[in-house]
Amino acid sequence: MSESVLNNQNKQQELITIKNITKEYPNTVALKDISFNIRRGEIFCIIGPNGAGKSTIVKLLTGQIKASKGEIRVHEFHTIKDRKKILGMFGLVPQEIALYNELTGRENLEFHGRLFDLSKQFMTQKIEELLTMAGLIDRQHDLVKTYSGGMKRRLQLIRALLHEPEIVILDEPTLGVDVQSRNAIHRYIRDLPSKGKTVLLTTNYMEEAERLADRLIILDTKIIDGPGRLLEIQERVFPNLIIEFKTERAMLKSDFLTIFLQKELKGKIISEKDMSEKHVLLQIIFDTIHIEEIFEKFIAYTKANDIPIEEFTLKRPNLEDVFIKLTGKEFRE
Amino acid sequence: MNSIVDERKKAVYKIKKWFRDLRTILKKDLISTKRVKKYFFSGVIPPLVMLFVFTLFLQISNPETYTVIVVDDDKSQFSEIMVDYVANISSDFAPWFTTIEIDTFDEAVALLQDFTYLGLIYIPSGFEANITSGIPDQKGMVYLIVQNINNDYVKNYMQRLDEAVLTFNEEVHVSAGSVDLFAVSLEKTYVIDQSVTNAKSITLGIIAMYGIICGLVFGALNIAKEYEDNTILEIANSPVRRTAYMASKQLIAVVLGGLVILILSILLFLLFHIEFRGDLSIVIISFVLITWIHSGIGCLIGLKFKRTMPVILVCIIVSMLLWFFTGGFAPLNILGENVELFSRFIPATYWTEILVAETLYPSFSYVIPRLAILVILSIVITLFSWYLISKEGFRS
Repeated sequence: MSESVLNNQNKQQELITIKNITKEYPNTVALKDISFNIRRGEIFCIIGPNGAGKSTIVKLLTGQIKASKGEIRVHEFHTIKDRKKILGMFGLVPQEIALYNELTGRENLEFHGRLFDLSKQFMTQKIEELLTMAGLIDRQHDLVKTYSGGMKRRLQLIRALLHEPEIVILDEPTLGVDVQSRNAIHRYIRDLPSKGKTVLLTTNYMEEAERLADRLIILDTKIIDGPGRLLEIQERVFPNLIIEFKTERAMLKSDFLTIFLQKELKGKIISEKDMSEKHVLLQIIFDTIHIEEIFEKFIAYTKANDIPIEEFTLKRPNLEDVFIKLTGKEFRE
Repeated sequence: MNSIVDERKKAVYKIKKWFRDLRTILKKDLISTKRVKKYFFSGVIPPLVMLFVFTLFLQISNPETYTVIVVDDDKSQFSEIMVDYVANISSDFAPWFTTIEIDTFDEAVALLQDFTYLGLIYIPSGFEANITSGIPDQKGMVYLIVQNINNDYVKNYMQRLDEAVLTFNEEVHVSAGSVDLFAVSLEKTYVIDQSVTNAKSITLGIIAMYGIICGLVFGALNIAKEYEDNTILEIANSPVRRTAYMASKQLIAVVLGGLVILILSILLFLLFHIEFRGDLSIVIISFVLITWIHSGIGCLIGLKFKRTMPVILVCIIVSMLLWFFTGGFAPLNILGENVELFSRFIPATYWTEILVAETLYPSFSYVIPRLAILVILSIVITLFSWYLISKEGFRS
């Protein structure tokens, strides 16, 4: 396949193009020269601490605010100049609970459907389907103010899907939600690409991004890293591997094990924790990400030398480690 | 050809969508307001309390009818016709005015000074002799001495007496065969510049104020609540027509305000026996216009403060100020020239004037120009508030 054909295909895949966006407020810069693309059918995640500019990107994308510099296009449409044309393409789940408390769950959905001019027949059918999916069918006639936080979040999510949008924007959709509701919401989000939706997810939960994102950027006013797959970013930023295992303290006395770990495997003991009188927990870091090679050599050596190994775990640096390494600061949730 | 048809279809769709949006938001707001009783009752209960207070304290001290003393010193055929004219204009279409004949001028003046009566009409001796003399300068005199020029009832009565003298000149004297058509002259004297309060005027003032309050509060609350509950995000990210959204917010204020005023008017009738004597449709149109205007201003207040409690407070303060400067609190001419001039720039002035006019002394020629001003102001203020809200109001 020629390069131009490939380029063309990539271009077709690009649904949202964000180009050199800067957003300045009188006393602060919210975003600085941001550029990235979101491809059709992917879950694209923007991760960053509070105040990183995640919600500003959402507002810019939906045309609620204008950029100081740069432009955003959805398909070929400009988000400000062609706002009317793109509004129906988005299904927005805002960070805040934005439901009418004095209406029932069903009335909230019907109101949304009417604003988007859905036919009555389609709306009725779709509402039933979505309420069932979200597990809210039994509470559909209750006022929203009687719902729990998790139920409200789920209702917001299905409301955003009611008018069959092409792009679903989720601005911190699980903020302040209990674990069960969070898991349920994650399941719906994971299913969205299979229904032809493109998802933009902003979050400051690392684990959420790790579970859901196809590609992501790390944002803190400017793009710190990405866009790319989580693994790519992790490998690029933090090309290390950590193994952790429990062994007998006596094994360390002979120094064979430590010499093997340090000389043969090029590892470095970063922690040595007493677990009991006899046992110790070791943590070794390696300047490589090639798990198989390390693992094979380590197992072969311990077997050959009868070194008892318990609770062996292999760890990659998580997104939080990556963030700390990139920015030099703790992640502020 | 096809493109013209398509354009026409698009235009029709846009118009239909506009009305659908309007209906959708209006319906949603009506349901919400019905369920948030505290907002509705905060609009209804205060006027009821005020009415109750005024009923207790004012109805006792203020008469429901006003009596004017007539002293006929001439006791001639023509002076008796004049007295009949005065009696008729006092009661025709205005049953709250009556006349009483007193024999002597001195006795009448004493009663007037006791504030027992609204005014005194004095026909001195020589009345008939003067008007039948045929000498142009020799006129029959009618003297009106009134308590207070500032009271709406007094103003109304003076207009009526002017009419009585004019009618007398046109009808009676012509039939008497004189060449001078205007032989009777009316001289008005305002002896006591004392402020006369009465329950009817004050109650009308309350209605006037609630026309303002309802527009401001309901308009502002509906917008502020959208911001407080973040539901403005739902609106901002939907293809709803901005003008339809604004119109629905103003319409809901008119509907709810109308309900409050209806309750007040019923109470007004039951407690104070005041009914609209003029054209009820004019009162309704002017009410709709004034609530519409103030709901536009209310929407701007809601946009500025974005929280319900500050919005209620600001709206009440603004309403009180407007009420003061528009003659609802006290007649404008006693508040000074500057206030009177300033009031001409406030829409509620015209609303108060129409309301008072249609209740006390209906006059089509007086009301229509004021109604026209309200129409113009409602267009200007609506366009202004819609422009501002469309520009700034949908940013979350």
